[in-house]
Amino acid sequence: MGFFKEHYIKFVLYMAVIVLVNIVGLTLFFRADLTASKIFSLSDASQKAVATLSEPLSIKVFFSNNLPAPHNNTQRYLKDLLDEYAARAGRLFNYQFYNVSSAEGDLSANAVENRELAQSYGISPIQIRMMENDELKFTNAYMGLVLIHGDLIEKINAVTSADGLEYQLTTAIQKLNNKVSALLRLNDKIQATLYLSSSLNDIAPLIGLDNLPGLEETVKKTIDGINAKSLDLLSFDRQDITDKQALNDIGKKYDLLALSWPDIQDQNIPAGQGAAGLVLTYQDQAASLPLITAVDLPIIGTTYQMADPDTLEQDIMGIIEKMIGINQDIGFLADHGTPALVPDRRTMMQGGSGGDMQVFNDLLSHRYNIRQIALKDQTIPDGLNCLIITKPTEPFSDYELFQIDQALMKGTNIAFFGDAFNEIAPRGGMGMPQYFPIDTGLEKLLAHYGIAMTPAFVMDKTAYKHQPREGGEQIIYFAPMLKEDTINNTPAFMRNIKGIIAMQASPLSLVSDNLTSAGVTATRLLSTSKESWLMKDEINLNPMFISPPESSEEMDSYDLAYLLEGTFTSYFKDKPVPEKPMGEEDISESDTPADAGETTDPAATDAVESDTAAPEGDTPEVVAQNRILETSRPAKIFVLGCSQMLMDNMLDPEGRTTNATFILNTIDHLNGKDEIAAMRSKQQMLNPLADTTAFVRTMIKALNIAGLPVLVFVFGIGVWGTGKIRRKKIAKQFNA
Amino acid sequence: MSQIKIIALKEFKDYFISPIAYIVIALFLIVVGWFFFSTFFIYSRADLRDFFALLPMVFSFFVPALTMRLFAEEKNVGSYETLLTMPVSFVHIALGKFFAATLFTCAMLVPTLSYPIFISLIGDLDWGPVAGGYIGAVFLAGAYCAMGLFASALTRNQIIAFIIGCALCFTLTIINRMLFFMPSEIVTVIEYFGANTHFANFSKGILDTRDILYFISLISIFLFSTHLVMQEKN
Repeated sequence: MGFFKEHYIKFVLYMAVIVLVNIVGLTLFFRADLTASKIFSLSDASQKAVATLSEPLSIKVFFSNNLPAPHNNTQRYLKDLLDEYAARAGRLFNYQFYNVSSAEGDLSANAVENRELAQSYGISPIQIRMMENDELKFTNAYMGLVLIHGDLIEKINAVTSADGLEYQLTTAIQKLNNKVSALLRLNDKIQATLYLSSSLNDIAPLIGLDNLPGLEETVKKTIDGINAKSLDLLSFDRQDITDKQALNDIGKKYDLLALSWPDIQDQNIPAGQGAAGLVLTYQDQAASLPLITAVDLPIIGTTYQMADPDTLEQDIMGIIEKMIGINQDIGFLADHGTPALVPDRRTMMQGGSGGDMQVFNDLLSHRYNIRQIALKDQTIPDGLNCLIITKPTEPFSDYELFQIDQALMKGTNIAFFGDAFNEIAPRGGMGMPQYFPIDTGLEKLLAHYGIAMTPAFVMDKTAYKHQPREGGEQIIYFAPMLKEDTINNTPAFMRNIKGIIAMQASPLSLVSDNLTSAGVTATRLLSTSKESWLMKDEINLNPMFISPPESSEEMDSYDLAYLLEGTFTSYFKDKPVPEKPMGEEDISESDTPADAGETTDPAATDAVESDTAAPEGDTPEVVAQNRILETSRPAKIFVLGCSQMLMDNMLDPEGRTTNATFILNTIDHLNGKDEIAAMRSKQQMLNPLADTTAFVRTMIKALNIAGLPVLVFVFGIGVWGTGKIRRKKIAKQFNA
Repeated sequence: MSQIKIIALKEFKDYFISPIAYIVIALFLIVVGWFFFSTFFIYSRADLRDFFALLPMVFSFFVPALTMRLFAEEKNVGSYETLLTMPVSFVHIALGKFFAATLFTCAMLVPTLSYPIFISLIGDLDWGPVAGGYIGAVFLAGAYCAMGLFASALTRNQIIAFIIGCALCFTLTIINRMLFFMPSEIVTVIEYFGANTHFANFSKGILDTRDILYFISLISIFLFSTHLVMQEKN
């Protein structure tokens, strides 16, 4: 009995110590990240984001306990990550996990309170799949968090994966920081005007909007809520307009939905008209939020919907964020036949795709305020870090080229995603599409800077393989798969980009003479494999009709993307300033590129004056003097001969694929955000093998599967044989 | 300390004197090599994630096979009593045998170093997760050896020792995949007991004190248990 007591008690005590040590170890721990790109450590951008906090940042996490894998691991990773942030940020950063879980099916008072708190921050449960009592069930789980910085709030509703979580958190923290700075910079209040016609109250029950009379109260309450959180930045006003002409004017000006109705005898409602919408104006900007929408449904007819009060605050904040410019501006050329960033409803109704760059637009809008620039009517704003030009198909006038050139001279980086051909689909969808070479005039500008695009499509033997339903494999030669050896990983923003799929790509070549004379450096970023060839004259992209050349001598590697960096020389140097084509709206004098920055721009010291012809007319003595910036500030031009890579079918909405990472990193690099690019890159897990022959693969497999065991076996026989000889020797010695 | 070393070296040498050791290593290499390389070129990723993912399951069968004889055989042939007459304690015996088995399992892993070497020739291999994976494999081997040793101490029948060892190791390996069936209140605790989660962190390239502590705790618990069984059976 004494023995049992002593040993078992000792054993139980040891166990207790081990359990306690493990419990302590859960809170006091150390972690080393052995990965080359420090995937599991906090990035420089994250450290900087929390280290520069000026006000306390609180993170409230609402995460249900006891979730099945992989969600439980995500929770652990989130906690570890927040610990890392806290360690870097000091006292201004704190986080708290709130209990929102039910215990034995019932909710404790504390959990109910926390769920209400989550709800008040707009965090709602999401549906996940889990096994319970031998049944697969769907359950609601809280997996969100809210970041509170001063009075401002940013939320992440669903943290479903550890992948990219650091990127999400850091960009949210940066956004809050930017928002605080932008709000502090505001001189005036944003005017929120509610256009709500009281006449609509009469017909509200007839169109199924019984709550319409309470709309003003709802909007006012929402705006008061925003004011309480955002330094009282909104000024509210209500306009009750029932006059037809005024309604038409306001409707047209702010794109508001106006309703009109005839006499309704049964209800004693006279004919009338009205509109409902919220218009936000700040300085020269205006944006509207429709509060009533009309939807045409087959059979049912037109139905009307009122804005959801729960999402109203979010919608208004979305508009405000854009208005006050919490994100850096980025330019996007919106005319000259470039694809639309947002869907064109009219095209969609006619059966077209209605714009294929929605994903690109969404991904970019997270971090940038995209300013669409219609060059025919507008100028390129000063101070823009980057201008994106995507597959223009209509010619540029010299005056428009001059604007692009001068923007570059002022230091605006240019990202050019171009194609050599314009694809025209056959009418009625029958037959093969036709391809016409694109000649917009921009080509000569790019050639002057040092890069030229060959009018051809690159085919590659290393290409995407399509597997049709009926079986087999179809190589899509015009969709080259770029692998590690053809991707330049040297620039920081290209690190970890190890596999990219291109589509209908056109080859690029350097115009060496122009590069050497300008002193610009060119970095090749992407190229195809050595087994590539060109489709030049008769373009036919039906995979059935494409086959590689028989001779390897006809194949070569072709360059697809370049980054030019340095001080560029203006294309218009020693040339007269182009005249603005007639028939366009006048561009205000202060906006003209020749005028802008002529005294404040340091690069103007390099500029030389050139006289243009004196305008003819009554005042021939007046001679306009324009200044051309002949040498640029240090700038970058990124050229990719494949605009398809920006289309929705090539990018994922989460921005996690290498294609999306490459595109976003490039844009970040051109905007001087290399740290963000590095953080995004490190999440990339794709690490493909180099191309190997079947013989090499078989050899590696054979050596490792069969060779190693054979070696061990031979070694064993050797040891056994040596032992046997030794034993024989000893036996012989003793027998002798 | 020297007694532990003497016992460990003796047991370790015993493994290599017997041809069974080479058969076990060769079999281990065939199994992991086949499972790993059969899909390796299809996925075409320059990493060893799939190899390390295999290890807990493969170790669940191979390690008990290596440890089953450590006590059971000695008890069966009667050499255990002889051992007890030596100037060594139960602690020396348990630790000596444990280190021998762990060392042998590590030796079993040595030939697999050719995998990362070959992969690095045809891809840009990140050696951090490889190093982490092998460090984790040593801890995993240690934990499973401790369990196998405990199973061997329980019985004089090697087959029963093997079955008990397999059951213990296998349970810890698959426990993470069985969480669906657990009551939600204990999921977190049960999940902590699973060896896979802790080992997966190592194979990702994370050296976390919590995972190291887990494996050391597991080794300690089963070595204590072995010690207890030895004392009780004596």
